[in-house]
Order: sequence, then structure tokens, then C-alpha cells
Amino acid sequence: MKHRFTVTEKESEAQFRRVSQELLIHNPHQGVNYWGGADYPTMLIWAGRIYDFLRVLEGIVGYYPARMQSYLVGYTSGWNGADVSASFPADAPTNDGQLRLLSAGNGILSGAGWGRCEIGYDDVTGAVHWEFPEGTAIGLAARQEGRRTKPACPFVAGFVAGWTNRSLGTKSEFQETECVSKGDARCVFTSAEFLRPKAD
Amino acid sequence: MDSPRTIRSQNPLETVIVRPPLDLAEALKEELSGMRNVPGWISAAVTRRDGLAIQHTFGRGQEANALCAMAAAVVGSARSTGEELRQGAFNYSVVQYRDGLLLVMEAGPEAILACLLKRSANLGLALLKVTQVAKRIEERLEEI
Repeated sequence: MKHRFTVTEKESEAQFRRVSQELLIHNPHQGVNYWGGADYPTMLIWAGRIYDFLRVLEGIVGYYPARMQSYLVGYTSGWNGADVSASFPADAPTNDGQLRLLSAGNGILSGAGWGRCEIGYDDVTGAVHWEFPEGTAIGLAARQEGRRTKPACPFVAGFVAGWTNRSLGTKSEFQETECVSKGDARCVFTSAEFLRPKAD
Repeated sequence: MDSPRTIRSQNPLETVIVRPPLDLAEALKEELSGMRNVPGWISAAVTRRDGLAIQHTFGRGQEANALCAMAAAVVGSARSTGEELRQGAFNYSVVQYRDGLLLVMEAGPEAILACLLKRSANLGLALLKVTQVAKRIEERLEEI
């Protein structure tokens, strides 16, 4: 069976209020925010600075090692996000939490300002894709600095991989198959059973 | 703050793995183990160009992951340096430490072979062996 989870513009507005207000707790003593009852401090950061992390690192060690390090940071973030969301009373118990947790991912992302996206999941093949029709915030930030030949969003690829794997109990890897920073109209992240990154 | 409701799960990074086909995994293991007869050999790993381990001979995966990430960074920075200085393609890298040697070589365009040796190892012999093994690993990977 193929599942498709979308977020309309109206739902994105509602998710913004939920993610940035209802789920965000400000600790005035520390001046630090906490999200969803988790013990990880949370803060706003320019999307372009996440891109800078990749850009600086790839200038030193090359694209592939830089991509993987960025991917791993995003992966942990996505995993932790799904982990916290799994504890939300409304999201956790039904259908053992898996599909529901996966479907919660795009609402959280759009509400947090990462980009509005659709999740597609085929429970027969196990294939998953996350599609951002307008691009991710990081991809849009990267596009402002000029067109790239390689995708700008390994952080988001890692995030959606971490969220997906935590939700479905899988060990899938994700590739950025389309990226607005490369001139594509949208950003797409697709699960892949691949052994190695392609050579230049 | 109220006590967090975070669910504690397994380490997420343990789920980021490369799963080569079984026959390939065994073939690579065999190639790496074949280097044991090089005097001073400690351990070795094959990694993707991005630093994700494909196969290794370490007792603990964490050690292999660290070596693979470093090996990919060594190759990446060496390639960048070579391009910047117009010195052509990267061949191999030897890093000498007080207690050991790290030998890193590309195994084709999409993989890297990293080998850890004792400081007293015969570098010439090790280089010869690593070159042969890297070539065979490249051929193995081309088959898939």
C-alpha cells in the first residue's frame, strides 16, 4: 500500500503555531528554549549558517566526507526529533506508532520553518521519499549564493533519514535526488539501498 | 523544567550502516585479512569516499568508523591540496606517528583502503601489499 502524507498551506500555518509556540518552552532564567519536553536546548538559527557548515567543510576535505559529516549531524537531529515526538500522547500509541510517527515529520518540519513537504511511503517496497515542492530553507539559502553542482542539503537528507528510520525501524539511507540549489524546481530526498556514493 | 519525556532508544548512529551483499562482504573481509601476513600489520578497513565503513578487521566497529571517517578526510584534503597545487591525482598517503603508521590509498574511484601498521613495519612491503589489495577491492566493487 502506498501512503502519502501532505501538509497544506493552512496546515503549515497551524503547525507553525504548534511547533513554535505550544511545543516550545522558554526558560527565562537561562534564556534558552526547550522543545517538546526534551532536554535538548533549542534555538533559532539562520538556514544559511547550516549551509555554511557544509560549504566550509567541503572546502577542506572535499564534498563526500563533508556531506557525510553534515548528514550524520542531521541524522541525529531527525532521530531525536522523532524520538521526542513519539512521546507526544496524541502521536504515540496508534498502529504501534510507526506510520503515525512518520506522518508527523512533515508537519514538524514545515512548522519549524524547514520547508513544507510531502512524504511518500510504499509499505510493500519500503521506498520512502520526502519532497519539498518549494525547496528546503537550506536549499533556498544556498541558492542565494549561486548555483551548485552538488546538492546543498545533506543535513536535511540526514534529518529525514533519521526521522524515517526512527519511525519505521529501518536502516535506510537517503539521497538528495533534486535540489533547488542545483537549479531544480524542488528538493527531493529518496531512500536508497546504495553501497557507495557515485564518483565525480 | 519538568522532567523530560524523551524516549531513550538505541544510539541513532548505529543505524547508519553500509550493507554490502553478503558475498561481497565476505570477499572484502578475506582481502583485508590477507594483509595479516604483512609484518607490523594492525588492522585495515575499506570505506566509501564519504567515510562510511564498508568492511573492516577491527574488533570494535567504533574504532573502524573513526578510522574510516579520518581516512576519507585525509583523501579529501589531499585531493583538494593536489588540485590547488596542480599536482595531479591523489595516489596514496602515509602518515607516520610516534607509535604507528597510517597508510591510505584509493581503491578505485569510489572506495578507500586504510591500513594501520606498527611504527616498525616495513613500509615498502606494506605499500606493495596494500596496492595489490586496493586493486582487487576496486575490481570487486566494479562487479556490483
